[in-house]
Amino acid sequence: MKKILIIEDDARVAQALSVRLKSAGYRANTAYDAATGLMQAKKIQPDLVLLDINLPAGDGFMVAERIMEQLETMVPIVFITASKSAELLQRAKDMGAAGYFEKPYDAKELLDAIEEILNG
Amino acid sequence: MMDTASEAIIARGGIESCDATVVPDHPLPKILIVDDNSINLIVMRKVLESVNATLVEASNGEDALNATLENDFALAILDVQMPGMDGYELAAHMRSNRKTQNVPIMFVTAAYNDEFHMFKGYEVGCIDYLAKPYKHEVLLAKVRVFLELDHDRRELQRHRNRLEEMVADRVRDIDQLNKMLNLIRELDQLIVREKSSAKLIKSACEVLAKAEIFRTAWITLNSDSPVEEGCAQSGIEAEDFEQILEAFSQDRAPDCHKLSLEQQDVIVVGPSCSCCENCRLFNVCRPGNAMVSQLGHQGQLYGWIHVSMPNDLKADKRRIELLRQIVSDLGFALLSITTQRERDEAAKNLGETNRKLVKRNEEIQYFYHSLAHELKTPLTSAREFLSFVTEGLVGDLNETQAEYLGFVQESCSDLTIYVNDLLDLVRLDTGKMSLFPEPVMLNKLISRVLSIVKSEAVTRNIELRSEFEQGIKEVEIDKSRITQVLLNLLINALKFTPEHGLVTVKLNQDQHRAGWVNIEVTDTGRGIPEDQLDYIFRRYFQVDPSDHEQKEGFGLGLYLCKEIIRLHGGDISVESKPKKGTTFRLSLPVKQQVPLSTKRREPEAFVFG
Repeated sequence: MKKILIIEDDARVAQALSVRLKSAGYRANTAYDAATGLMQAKKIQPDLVLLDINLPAGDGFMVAERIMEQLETMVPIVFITASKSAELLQRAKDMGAAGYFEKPYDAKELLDAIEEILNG
Repeated sequence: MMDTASEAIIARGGIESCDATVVPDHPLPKILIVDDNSINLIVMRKVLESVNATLVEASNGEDALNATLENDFALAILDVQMPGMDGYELAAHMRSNRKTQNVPIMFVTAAYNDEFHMFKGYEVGCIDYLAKPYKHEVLLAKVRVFLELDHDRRELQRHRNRLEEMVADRVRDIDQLNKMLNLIRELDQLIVREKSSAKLIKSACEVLAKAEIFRTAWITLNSDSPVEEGCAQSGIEAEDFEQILEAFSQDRAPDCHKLSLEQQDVIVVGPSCSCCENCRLFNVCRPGNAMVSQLGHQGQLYGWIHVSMPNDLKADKRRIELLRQIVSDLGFALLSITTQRERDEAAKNLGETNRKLVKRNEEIQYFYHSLAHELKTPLTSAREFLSFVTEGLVGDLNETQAEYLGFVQESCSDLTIYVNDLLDLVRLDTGKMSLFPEPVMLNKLISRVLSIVKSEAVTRNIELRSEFEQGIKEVEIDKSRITQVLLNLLINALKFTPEHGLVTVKLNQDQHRAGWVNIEVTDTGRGIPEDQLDYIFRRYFQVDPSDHEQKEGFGLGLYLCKEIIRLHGGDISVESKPKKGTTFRLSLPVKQQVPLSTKRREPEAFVFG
């Protein structure tokens, strides 16, 4: 079972994502802030990270970089953000993110994308 | 005979001593007769009795010379042979004196009537010669000729004098007119140059008082007038003017001021008028002859002006007319300055207001942007948890529960659209909506959009049809934005089309414009009232709902459609027939004017890096 780590400061969105992923057959862990997210990532060694960009105490890009440093294998990172900005999208691409979704995301598109990233 | 002591006396024409200085208006011509022989004098007096002239007699050269200095003679009849100063000497003296050099001299002599003496006589300036004994008629005739000549000469002189006076008058006149013209010209230059009323009246007073047309000039502008309050003067002693101003400030303005307030024209005042006589300010004002007038324009009173004339000159017609002109010019100038000042102030206030509004607008835009942004996160979780329930992830629902939750889901979809519309509106208003065109097959894009609304059409029992012209190649568009437009039009079409209706999407080459394509979305709905067709693309406009309907959303959908199509360089139009249906037509250029490479990608969902 593939492990997906959700780092999202809005607890309900985090929970919704968790339910969605579990229903699709993934193992989901959630963290609500950057520090916990980093700790979890080290602990569970996820196959994919769903990462909010606007996080309290440290933005998603910083977290993404740290995760990439920490983990031995390359972990795909999918950003989820409420912001619509060309700059953020470009930064995500530049740092090698696997995906970028805007809130409110389309659940089917998101699951299809994750499926493709993990098994494609 | 010698008669040295006899004085020159005057016979005829009044008894006056010859040193009298009083000259009658039209004096008789005077004739000097000089002879040392008193009998000769008496005879000559007798002969010349009938001549209309005053005879001045002298019995020797010295007396005669004195007489010539005191009188203006028309003719001098001299005896040549006299003891002491003889006739030649006397003639020579007369010729050498400016006053007497032109007096005609006639010698009368018995002894020296030879040619030598006659020539000598002519040499010293005599112009006629009469030998004794002479015929009385000859003397008389000669004297008459000389008198006539003298008369003519005097007439001529008088005319000349009169002419010279006239010329001098005209020169003075022209000089004055020139000064007045210069004054007006300088004033006009001031009016063009000066931008403040204080400077204008100060400079105006200086121009007025230095022109020799006026001695002093002072102007006051009222505090309760539309123009700026102020005062200025020229030609008045500073301390005197202070007293005048003090009087004004204590509401003790002179009578001429009060008078001028009652009358719109120039008023002439002066020491002889009762107003000046009783004036408290007479000693400081020392007006001489003066004129006052109110200053104003088009019935509005700004202040007043006071000018005085130099050197007891009277306020003549010309000066009155001049002051009228000055008053008119200054009134107009003061109005212009005031209008300009008000305009500047208004512009300044407007600029201030505008800056505030711009700032406020930015704040509102930022607020809307944040609001829309913040709405997205709760909307995300609401939609998701709702889906979990409706998808049966947490157990089965009964029919009513499923129906109700369906409504909630619809509401969530609407909310999502509104939030996105709101964000788009802020982007448009801040100029931050950019397109990211790429070559797109429109038939594919339309099919995809139709598939999104298909379930809705099936539910509503509405037929969806598409008609694509063959051979339409790729068109450069922003895929997500055109999708947004088509979705908007299709959702509208479905909303207003009754059951069993038809919604058609057509894709065609433009018949009239090469390189353009048209997309038409036609419904068989109730149509849009004709009087509303012009407004439907306006921001916040909503078609009046029919009975049992209520307005939904912000009325932004079609406005955003129009703006998005406009950004593509295309246009959107609508045709509608009540109860028959409506057609929206999008026209798009196949190629975008701006090269694709210069446009940045706008974020949207992406996968696979």
